Amino acid sequence: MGLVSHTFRALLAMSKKRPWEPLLIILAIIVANAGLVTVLLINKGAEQGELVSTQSTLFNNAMVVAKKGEMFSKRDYAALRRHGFTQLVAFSQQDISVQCSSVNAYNANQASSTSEASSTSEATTLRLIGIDAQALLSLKESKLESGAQRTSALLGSSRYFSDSTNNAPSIATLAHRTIADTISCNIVEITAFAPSVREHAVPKTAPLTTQPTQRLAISTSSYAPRQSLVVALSDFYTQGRTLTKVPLSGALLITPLSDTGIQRLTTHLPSHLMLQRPPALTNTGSLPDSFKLNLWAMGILMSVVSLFIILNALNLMYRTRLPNVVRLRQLGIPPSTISVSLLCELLLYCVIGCAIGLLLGFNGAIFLSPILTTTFSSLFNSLFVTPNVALLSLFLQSVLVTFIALAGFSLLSAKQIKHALNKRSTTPYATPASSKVVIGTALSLVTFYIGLRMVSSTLDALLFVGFVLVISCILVIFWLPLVTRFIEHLTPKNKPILHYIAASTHGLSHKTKLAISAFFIALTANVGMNVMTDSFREATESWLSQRLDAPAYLYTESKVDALQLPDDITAVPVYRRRAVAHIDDVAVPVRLRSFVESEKAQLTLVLQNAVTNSTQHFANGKGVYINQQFAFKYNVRPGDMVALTPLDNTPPGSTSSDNTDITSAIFNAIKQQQWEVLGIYPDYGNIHAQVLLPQRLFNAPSTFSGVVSLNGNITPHQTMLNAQGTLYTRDALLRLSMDTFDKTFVLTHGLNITTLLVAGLAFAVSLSMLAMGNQSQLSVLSALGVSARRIKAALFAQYLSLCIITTLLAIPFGLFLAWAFITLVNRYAFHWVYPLILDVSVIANSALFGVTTVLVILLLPLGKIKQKVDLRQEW
Amino acid sequence: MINANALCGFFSGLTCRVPLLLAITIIALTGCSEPEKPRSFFGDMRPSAQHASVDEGRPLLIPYDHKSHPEYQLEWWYLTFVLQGDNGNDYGLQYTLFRFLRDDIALNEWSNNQQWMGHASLHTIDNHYFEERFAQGGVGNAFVKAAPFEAVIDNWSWTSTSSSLFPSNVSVTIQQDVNVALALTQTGPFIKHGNNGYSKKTQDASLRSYYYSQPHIDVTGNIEIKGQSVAVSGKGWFDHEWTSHLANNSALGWDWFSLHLDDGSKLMAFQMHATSGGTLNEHHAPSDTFTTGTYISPTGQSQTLTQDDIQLSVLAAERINEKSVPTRWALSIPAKQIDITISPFKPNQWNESIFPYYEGRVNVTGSHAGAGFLELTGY
Repeated sequence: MGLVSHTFRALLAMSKKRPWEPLLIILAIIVANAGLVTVLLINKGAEQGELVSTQSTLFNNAMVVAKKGEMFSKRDYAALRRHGFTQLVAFSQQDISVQCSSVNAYNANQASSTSEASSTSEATTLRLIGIDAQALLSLKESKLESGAQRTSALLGSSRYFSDSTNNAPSIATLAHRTIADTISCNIVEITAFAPSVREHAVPKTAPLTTQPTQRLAISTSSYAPRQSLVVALSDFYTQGRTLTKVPLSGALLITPLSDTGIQRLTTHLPSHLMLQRPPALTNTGSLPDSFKLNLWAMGILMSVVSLFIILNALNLMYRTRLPNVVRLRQLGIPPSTISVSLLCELLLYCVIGCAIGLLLGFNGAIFLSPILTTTFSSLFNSLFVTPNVALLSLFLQSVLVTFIALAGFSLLSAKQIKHALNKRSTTPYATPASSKVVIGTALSLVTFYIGLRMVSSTLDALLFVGFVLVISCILVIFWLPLVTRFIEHLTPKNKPILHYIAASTHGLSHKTKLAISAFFIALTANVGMNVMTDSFREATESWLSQRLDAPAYLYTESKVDALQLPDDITAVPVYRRRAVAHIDDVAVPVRLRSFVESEKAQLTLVLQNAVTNSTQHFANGKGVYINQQFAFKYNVRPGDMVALTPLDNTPPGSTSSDNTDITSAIFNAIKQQQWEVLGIYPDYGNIHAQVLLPQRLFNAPSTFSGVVSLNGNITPHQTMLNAQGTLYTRDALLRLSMDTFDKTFVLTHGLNITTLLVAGLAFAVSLSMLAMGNQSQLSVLSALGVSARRIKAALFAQYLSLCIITTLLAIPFGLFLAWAFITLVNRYAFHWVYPLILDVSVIANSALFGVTTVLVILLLPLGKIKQKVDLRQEW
Repeated sequence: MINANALCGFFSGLTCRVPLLLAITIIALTGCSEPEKPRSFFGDMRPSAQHASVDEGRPLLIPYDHKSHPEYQLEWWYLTFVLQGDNGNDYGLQYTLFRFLRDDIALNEWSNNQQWMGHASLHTIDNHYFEERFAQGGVGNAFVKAAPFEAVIDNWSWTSTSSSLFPSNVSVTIQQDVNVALALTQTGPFIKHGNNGYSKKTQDASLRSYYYSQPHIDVTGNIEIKGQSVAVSGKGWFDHEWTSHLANNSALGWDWFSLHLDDGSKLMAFQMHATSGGTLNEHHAPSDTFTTGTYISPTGQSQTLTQDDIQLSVLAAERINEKSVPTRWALSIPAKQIDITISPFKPNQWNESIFPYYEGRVNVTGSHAGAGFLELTGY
């Protein structure tokens, strides 16, 4: 043990003498760890967000609802529970307006009217969901204990048994954390419109009843669906809400039933009830998964490049230490002791590198959290939450994995050096035969083609991208000597320095495989990503410019029939609703969106594929347009037929003579028809399958999306319009959209540049090692009278040549990669594609940036070449 | 003696049983942050002038009072069974329906102001199956109906074909594991405890209830456990109790016994724990206990037992969930030549509900042999 300690200290002393290599190793560990930890944390955040947004709501399973024209009654519910279906929990729902109140709502209500009690902020529309909290409390199965029971405990009895008996009674309410900001105030319900009231467009501030507004005691819970407040049914059916005005929506199956259970339930259902199976409706798509895969791919790319650095640095370190190691052996220290000491030294570097990398990665993820939150909500319509992980455990894992990798590499490096010492090759490097390289290239292209045909999922697409990178890297390693040899042949021999440069470049091409591989991979990925992003940006801008045909758009929280618009403005509200599309008996969740039937409006659609006379067919209500997401995800083509069943929260065919009737009429109009798919339009950024239907089918105010396009001169009416929501001019909206777009790609740009920097570093380290190997030649040149400056210039020229040739080879592969990203990764991950746009300036920028990065880094070791080379130092 | 620490999250009462929901909520809200301070399991639930009062002058009438008494704050119908299977194994079964009057529920169309809670528990020698249900009154899935008599929560039911409680059938399931179907017949008279059903829980009667039992029940039926069916038979015990006088912060817990002795006699005994004088003691004063019971002769004659008649003492305690729970007792009634030891049927008969408590079958040895049920709350 004492011997190991002494040897270890000797090794550390060597590190102090030559700190460059250990620092490089530590730096590489830091970069790799920081990159991977950032990716891990971001993915964790996406995962947690996904869990919060999709897997924890009440509505994940099937539900029992009434058939068309029927009602789900309390009696039905009781009968089902008495049959033993205790997983069923009754619920009802209604959209309500809530508002923050600056005064104690309850006290104010005691003294005065509702409107006096709360009047200090804008109203927000939320969905009020009433559930049978007592039934929920009964469930005690697996994860529900913490979800359902806590929910129920919070909703069920909290007020009565509360210690705070002096407080005014309030309604125990649960809300999803996404609306925590909205409700972080003394929130009160200011309206509870009964459908009949809404139909007559009563101003929104009119209270439905004369009952005092009750204060809501809100807790956040992931169990509550988004944009909703959950209360007990006994609280729901107050404030004027009655079973007649707002009937029960149905009964939720809180735990999934087995096939036998489903069969039993179906058998027991009375004829007016049915089981609705909505699991697919809660599937938000595979986008967060794809995002995670993309990030992992980039993180791994960065780590691979870091490994190149480590490998080079280890080689470098071992070579410089070899004389000392030999001396240690001569002193009688056994090889095992030296090995153990070396491993201890590497472990120390691991601990230091991992700790710093972890901190950087953690802070990076925290720093990126706001951007990611915006990205996820705007582009992915998904949640991102600031990740919460056990740092110590993560640190230990990082150290373990890094140390194992490092120990493996150290053995590899030691073996290489031992091999090199035992057997000194005197033959020059053999350049591969051109014919073999050509055949290899042809075979590679064939494998690309075969691989391309086999891609059928996001994972396949990403694997294909990895495959392309690896194969192209191998090809470049073979092509580079051929190209440099060709240049050498072209270089006139009567120009010795130039010929020396060309010949040395050729020689270098054999020795710098690792450095070139790292640089090539990073640059190819950089070109590919940049071209893809630029193409996407161009496509998005072009698509938005065409789609945004109105001079202004109003985003509002108001009800559509409560909007007050000037007479000289033509307003076209956008309506949306959820639906199920049936394609060949397969039911898929889709979003319906209204679209104006006029020919002029249809011209704004960028249709990529359409049937003949699609415009007339759409105007006549004979067909629909679908987005790429729908077409690609479910393999739907123009000319195919789809059936649509709108989903409505209000049971269709409800007997009340109000808005529900309109809804039912629309429901039926849409449902009782097979729709021809007339064309496919791009819909970048939307993760949902979408169907455009004629505007006239969307007159129900409840389906208003909150967006109104405004045609006409809005300038005189801006104040009035702004008072009702947020008004955007077309240009402002376009600018905002593109800003959001650019923000989205900040992360990938950052990782991209970091990868390139790391690759440059790998390249530089490798060349630094080569420079050491060339010291004897350089000494000869120096002895011949060639000045140090010229030697430096010659060396720089060699590296530059190698770098430029690699860059030129990387560009076509980068473009191919961009094409693969667009047509494969995007196609399967996001279900959209767009044209590949080859912008020379983008490609040139990538190439120049790559070359400049490498060259700037290269200047560092070059400057360190000694003017006088001490030949005694050669080993 | 009640440990003050045990009071946090404790349900108590009279010989009455387990208004668990109240306690559950207290646990959730207080987080047991002040375990030393004695407090009622009823939390801030307080008697109100609006609640009907237990009055010694108001007679308890049978069968009229089998019904629900929604004007009273608390009520329960409590069935326990000591059963033997045709496979030779012994079983202990409990089916209980609780009702609470809630003042906090606003007038609404979904429910009335009654809340229901059901417990079903089956002990085999090796396993324990337990489930609890909650429901709101007025919805239709939980109720007690007088004629024909039904005590229902979801698919758990005790039903008769008339206003009489017997003959009747009990049907309960526990999770996905247990299916119980029993037929009950009455073999003796109903027993009114205390003074003709007016049952004092403390000396000053500040805690009191209406309380009667039917300890003479013969049971036959079937128990299916994880698909394995076994025919069972044995004895049952029914308690019905209602009150509005247990929510005054002084009720801390109790030890309750219902025993079938081999000479055909029956014995109900309880030891009530309450804070002194019926008021909350801020200084951790030991609680007062009040012991009473009813002896029922083999011919069905009942006699109320006073503190002087009955002696109860703990022989051993079990460690359950880090708490000491007295599960082995000595009980003597010198006037009746009863000197028995009450031992648990098996260890750890703990109902792991949201709010846990001890409820299990016991064996009787000593001057008399027998079997019965023991309930311990406040531990």
